[in-house]
Amino acid sequence: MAVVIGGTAEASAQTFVVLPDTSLVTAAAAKVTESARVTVPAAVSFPVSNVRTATQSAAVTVSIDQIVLGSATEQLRISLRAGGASFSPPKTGATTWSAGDVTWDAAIWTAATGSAGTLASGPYTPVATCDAGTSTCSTNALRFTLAPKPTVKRSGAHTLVVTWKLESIGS
Amino acid sequence: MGTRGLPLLATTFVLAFTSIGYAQTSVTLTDTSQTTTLTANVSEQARVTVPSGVTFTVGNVAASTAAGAASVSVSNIVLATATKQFKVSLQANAASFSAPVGGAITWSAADVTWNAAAWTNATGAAGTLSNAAYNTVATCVADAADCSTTALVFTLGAKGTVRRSGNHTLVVTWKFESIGS
Repeated sequence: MAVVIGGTAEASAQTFVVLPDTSLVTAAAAKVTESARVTVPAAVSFPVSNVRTATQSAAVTVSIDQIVLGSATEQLRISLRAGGASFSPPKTGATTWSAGDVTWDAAIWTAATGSAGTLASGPYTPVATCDAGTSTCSTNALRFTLAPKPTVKRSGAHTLVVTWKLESIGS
Repeated sequence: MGTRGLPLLATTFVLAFTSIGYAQTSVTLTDTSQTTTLTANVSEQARVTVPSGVTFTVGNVAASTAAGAASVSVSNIVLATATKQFKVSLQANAASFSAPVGGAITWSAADVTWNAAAWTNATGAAGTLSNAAYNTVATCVADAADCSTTALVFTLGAKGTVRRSGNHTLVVTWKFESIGS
C-alpha cells in the first residue's frame, strides 16, 4: 500500500504490516516559489549646488542573485516607482522637485539589459531586465539625475521615497 | 561682468554621503518591499553678476572721480528659510592701489567709497572700502528670488599728492552670504 502525504493538510493511513515491511511510502514535495536575493541602495543623494543645472547622483549598485524562476525562459525584471508625486521640501509649502524630475540612465549591467527611465508615482518603470536563465545580474553604474529647477528657493533636504519592484516576466 | 552660481561663503553644508548603505534581502516574487530614499541636499546658493572691472578716469587728482554706474544682480536665490536675507559685501585685497611705477604715491583702499544705490528687492548701503573687513553694499529683501541694481557708483577720493599717470589698480572681493534665521 502506498500513502501519499502532501500539501498543508496532511492525510494519514493506518494499516497492519508484517515485519519486516517496506510497503509504506511518503511523497515529499518542496514547493519552490519564485524568489531572488536583492541588494538596493538605502539612499541616493543629489548634492545640489546650482538649481539651474541638473545634478547627478553618485553611481549606485543594484545586485540580484539566487534567482529562482518558473522556467528557463522567464526573466526577472526590476522596476521603480515614486512613493509620492513630488519630493518633500524642508519647509512646508516650498517649491520642490516632482517625481518626474528624476531620471536614470541605461546603465551597463552584468547579465541584464538596463533601461533609461523617468520616475513616476503611477506605474513602475523598468530599470533592467535580467537575462533568461541567469542566476544573478547586477550593476554598479546606475546613476540618477535630478533635473534643473530654478524655482526652488529653499535649501536643505528635499526627500522622496521610491519603491523597487521585482517580478518575473515571460513564460 | 562675471556670472557665477556660487555656494555662499558664510554657510557650510554637508552635501553628500560618502558611503551608501545597502540592504540585502531575499524576496518572493513579485516583490515591492524594498525602498530607497532619494535626497536632494540643496545648498544655499544664488546666481550673481558683478562687474569684472570698474574704471575711474582721473582728469584731476585734486578732485574726486566717480566711475560709471555699475550693475550688480543676484538671481535664483536659495536660502534655508523665508526670513533669511542675502547680503552683498565688498573688501579690498590690499591696503592700497598698485601704482604704475614702483614706489609712486597712490590711493589707499579707503579712498574708494560707494553710494547707497537704488536696488530692486534690496536695500543699498553706502560704504567705504577696507582691506580689513567686508563692508555691506546691499541686503536683499527676505524671500526675494532676485535683487539687482544698475546704479552702483564708486567714487575715488581726491589725492593731490599723486604724481604718476597710468593705471593704478586694486582688486576687490565680493562676499555673498545669508544673514538672519
